[in-house]
Amino acid sequence: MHGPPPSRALRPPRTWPVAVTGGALLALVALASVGFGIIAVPWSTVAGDLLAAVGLGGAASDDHIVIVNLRLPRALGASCVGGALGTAGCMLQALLRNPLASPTVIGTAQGAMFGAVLAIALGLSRAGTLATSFTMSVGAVTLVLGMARTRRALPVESVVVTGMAVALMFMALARLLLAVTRDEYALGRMTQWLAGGLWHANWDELRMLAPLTVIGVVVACACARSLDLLALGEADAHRLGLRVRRVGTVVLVGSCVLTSLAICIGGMVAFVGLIVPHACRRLVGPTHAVLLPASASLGAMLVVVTDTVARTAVPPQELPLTVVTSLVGVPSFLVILRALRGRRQG
Amino acid sequence: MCPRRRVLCTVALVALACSPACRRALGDERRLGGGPPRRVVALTCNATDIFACLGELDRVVAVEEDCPAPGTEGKVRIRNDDHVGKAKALNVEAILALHPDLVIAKPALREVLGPLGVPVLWPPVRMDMRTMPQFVRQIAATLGVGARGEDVLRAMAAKQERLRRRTAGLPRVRVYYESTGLGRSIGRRSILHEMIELAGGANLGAAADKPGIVLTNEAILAADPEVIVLSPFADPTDEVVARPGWRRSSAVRHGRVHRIPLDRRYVLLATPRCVDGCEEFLLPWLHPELFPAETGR
Repeated sequence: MHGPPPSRALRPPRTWPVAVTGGALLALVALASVGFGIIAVPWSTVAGDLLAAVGLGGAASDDHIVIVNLRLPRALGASCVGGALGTAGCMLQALLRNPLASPTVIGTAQGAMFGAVLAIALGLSRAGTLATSFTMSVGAVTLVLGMARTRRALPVESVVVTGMAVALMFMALARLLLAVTRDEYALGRMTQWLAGGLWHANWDELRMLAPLTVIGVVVACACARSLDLLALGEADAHRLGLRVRRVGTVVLVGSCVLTSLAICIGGMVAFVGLIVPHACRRLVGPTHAVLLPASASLGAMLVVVTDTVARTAVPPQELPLTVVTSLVGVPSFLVILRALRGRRQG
Repeated sequence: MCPRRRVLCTVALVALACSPACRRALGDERRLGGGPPRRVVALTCNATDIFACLGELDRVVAVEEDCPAPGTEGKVRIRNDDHVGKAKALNVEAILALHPDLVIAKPALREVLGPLGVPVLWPPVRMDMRTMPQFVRQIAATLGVGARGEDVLRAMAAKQERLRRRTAGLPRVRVYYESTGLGRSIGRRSILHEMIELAGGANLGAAADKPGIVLTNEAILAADPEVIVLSPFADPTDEVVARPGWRRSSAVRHGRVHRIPLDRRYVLLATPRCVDGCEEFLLPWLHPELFPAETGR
């Protein structure tokens, strides 16, 4: 026998309307980004080239290389980086019940970065780079949690401080590798990688990494209910029937995979994983069914916009992407800290 | 069709085919298969200086932002990670906006520039006295001035031989080269190391099998350099000689601390002009006994 349908206010929010709206907005922002650049290309030409690229239009224009081989992979790469970091940050904040958790704060991003640089030094393939990056990312988070955990709890401050120490250690290891590498070709590629940004985004890379990122975000969205329970605390989640340890491991591994993918595509991009989940919490509320797709979409949009600014603001030079995102991120970070302090005092 | 009309039609067709609009419509044929390049973006300082050596700098429209080669003033400067450790992003679209028909970039950029449909020339991963002549020949051949390239290389080889003869049998002078700060020196994979050897010196950082090395203060003082050569970007000379313990070194005691002039820093590049740098600066600094008239002044 069925009871009365739940009232509109009590009905749990659904993922797909937010995902569809976020996806549509992201597509618009990415298209706008493809239209902007140092080389002035009419919008009709941009549209024609994009249609020709997917086999729907006529002949491509003279500018198709700029549109299809240069700006489109950048926009797609930026979407993947932002989407992956936004989702990973959201997952880590729920898992650690720590509003300051993010891939760069707890050291997973730096671990992944060191892994990528190590893979270049060893001359590994793209898949090898991703695997090494992921392994180091997991290594970093394991180290942080192992060092920060006390007998009964995982104190917020302890995780952040240990994370920062581990992050510094992995950055130092990356620099050490740079100092001892003798292969000058590898050295050049490592330097490029450490510069970060999406200026070296290309289709060869994205053909492998973009689908993996989409799969990662979708899998994360499928864990939304578990993340809601985890956010209540380990004891409550266990009481409500959640296998806390298993789910925790899945979430942690998922966040590390997403972080590694972001690092492999665009290098280190600061603050996205930290500020985007907070902004989305204000926009759509704390339920992960909507928070995760919103974080993925907003993160993607943020990186697409900041990358467009980075490549067009001071031509013919290019601003480092992480500088632009930090200029947005630092004020937001300070607002978050202030809000947290206010909440504690209240 | 009468012969006169046929000739007129042919002339009209040729004029149309030569028009810029038509060439654009025909794609990159002009750039890929046409004559020598006329709009070159040289993202390595060495390549730009080789253009200068060949007297073909007019063809270069953009250079690396730190390029010291004279004659590049006013050219577009594009940031690149040409120097290890700089780690800066490259604006690829800015390169395409210049409509280059040739880009010269280091091999690490192969994945970035490869898919853009612009012809790219890759210099050797390591530029030294052995690989540099081949790169000069490659650029000269691409520009269609192969004979001039050979002339430049012959002149360079003659100067090298002259230097070797002059320094043969002379004692090797211990040289400390400082690039940007205390201890920042060169290993044996640097062109400067080869320049010092050519001028009859012994580089203090020769043990390092890489381009750069950071020597400790103590190691420098223990080696007691007889000559200190400072790059234009090193600390001021009076600060260098005033460093604790440095006044006791042979170089400072005998007033043999020298600095490469800022406006001549292109002699430090791995190009045929590095031998000029050896003759003009390093040889008189390392072996003043070969220049008695100047020493006596």
